[in-house]
Amino acid sequence: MSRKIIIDPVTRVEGHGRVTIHLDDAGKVDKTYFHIVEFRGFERFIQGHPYWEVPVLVQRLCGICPVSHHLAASKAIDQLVGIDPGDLSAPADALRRLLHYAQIFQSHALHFFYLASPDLLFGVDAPELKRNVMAVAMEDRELARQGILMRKFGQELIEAIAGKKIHGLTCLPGGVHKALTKTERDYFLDGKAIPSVDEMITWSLGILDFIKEYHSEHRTFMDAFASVPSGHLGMVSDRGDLELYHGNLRSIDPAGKVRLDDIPTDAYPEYFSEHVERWSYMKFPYLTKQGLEQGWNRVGPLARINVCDRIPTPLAERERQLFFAISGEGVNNHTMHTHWARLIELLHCAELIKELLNGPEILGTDLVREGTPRKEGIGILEAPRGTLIHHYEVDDHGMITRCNLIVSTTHNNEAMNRTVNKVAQDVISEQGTITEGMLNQVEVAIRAYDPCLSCATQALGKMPLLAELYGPDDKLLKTVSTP
Amino acid sequence: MRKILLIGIGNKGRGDDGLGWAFADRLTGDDRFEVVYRYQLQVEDAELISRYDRVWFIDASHEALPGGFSCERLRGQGRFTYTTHSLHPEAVLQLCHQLFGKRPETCLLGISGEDFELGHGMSVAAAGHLEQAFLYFLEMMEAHKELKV
Repeated sequence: MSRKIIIDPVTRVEGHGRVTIHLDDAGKVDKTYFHIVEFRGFERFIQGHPYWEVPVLVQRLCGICPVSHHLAASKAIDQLVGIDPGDLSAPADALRRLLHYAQIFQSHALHFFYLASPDLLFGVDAPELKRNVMAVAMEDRELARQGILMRKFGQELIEAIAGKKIHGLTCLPGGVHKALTKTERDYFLDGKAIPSVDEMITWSLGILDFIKEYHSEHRTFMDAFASVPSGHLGMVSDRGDLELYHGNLRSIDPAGKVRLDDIPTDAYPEYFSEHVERWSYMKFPYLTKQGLEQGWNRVGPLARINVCDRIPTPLAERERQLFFAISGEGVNNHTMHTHWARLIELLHCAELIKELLNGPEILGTDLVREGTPRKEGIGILEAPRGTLIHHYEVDDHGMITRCNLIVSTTHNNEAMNRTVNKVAQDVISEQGTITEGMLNQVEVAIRAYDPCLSCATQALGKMPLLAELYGPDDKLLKTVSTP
Repeated sequence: MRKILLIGIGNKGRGDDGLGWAFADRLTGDDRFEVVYRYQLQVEDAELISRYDRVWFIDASHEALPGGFSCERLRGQGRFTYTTHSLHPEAVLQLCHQLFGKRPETCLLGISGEDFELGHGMSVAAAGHLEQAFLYFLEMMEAHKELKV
């Protein structure tokens, strides 16, 4: 007698997803699906718009990572006016990078402190009303306070560059439209009005100490829970360093063997394919050569830390080395370690922000370059959640004729499905009571990927929690919900 | 620094949901107020309000309120749920007190709307409610009255 369990929607992720777990007659997990159930179709409706509108329009994909879409689209649109990434003026490149690192910094802070830390502090089976940042504030006031101020730092840096914290405007074809003033820059350096960038580095190191201590105390959970072998995809520099803004794409298999060897980003169509399933609006990208079954990749912090040879800032590099020394493996497939890798990147971005703020180019006023128009542009960068691909083609009038978006969460589609299946098999293995805590463990596994489901389907999300347990013939047996 | 923070909450693209922003628009440029706009409140707004002595949240209401608006003095208690995607002003005040040790005098002004569908512009009824709420607010400011809540 088979049963079906539905978790709908999954909470504390960005967007609306649903998990169904199908049990066999013996009450064991037969199959699981992580469904993405919303659709808005940006790729289609953007067609017919002039190319220069695109970096503004695509920001509306998401309220969490609009900066990433703005920058990826802008990199592609630059090419439509004949400007490659290396052709940008030094100040424009510095400002775009500063914006990008601020975005990753605030996004990683948001995810760890607001969304993930309740799971770590209170356990995966804690009462549902305890799983929020208010409970974190009650438990560890300083941790919560720092989390809020780190997110605020990143958001205010975005506002200084883009004019607004959300859906601002920085880029125009071939450059940026506004320079940073000395007053604006010093605001983030002097520590007078808000904690300085040095404070951000100190706090990032502190939260890394927290996760290392947590790992030493919960090693079995961190290492075993939700672990699945996967391919890993990320961007690296010409030297093989971790690169977040512009570089080459590298993929390794679960054992660390390189299978995509530092290809330039504009060559991605030759190496990637996409698959669709009828039960989800989210696509399944994979490496064409390896095929659908073997060619899928995990992206995001854990993948990036795995594929790079080193991190080009000293403190983050030291933490990377510790990360691998402690885990004792050349390639880390432990899904829960994604939180750890995310915090290493948090530190890396704080270091990069400091470097740029103190650099000679950041106050420059040479902001725009011009070139010879082309018909196609490809913009790829490492967004907070992983490799983000924007690809556009235009007609003779500069109107968009084709748009392809492969967003970070989409790359993680197969990995998240396999992770959900692994956790479901581990925690729902016997027939009997299905507790809310069990269902939360499935959510914890998904949350490690920090999926942005709004981006993945280009839809807005709402967050009520509803979990349903179905019996034979899809008869509803039980509903688990939060207020 | 200005001592009164006014936070307009809403979405002008959803008809009467733009009431909070329309109210805030009227006070932009008034030296007494720091005016900010929000689609929804976030956790970091707890830090923002900790910097002020008095805070007003202005938001559209789906309820048909007597006189077209309501004014509630917040205490910073309860109303915290599992999600932090959007917060009630009460939760922001609670978090402000817990993390930053401040509890500014905080009021929530709700203004009745009728049409929250996609589209710009507000309904005639909502525009009337906005006028009533704004007059009440000015009266409070000018008289420095204690709120009747």
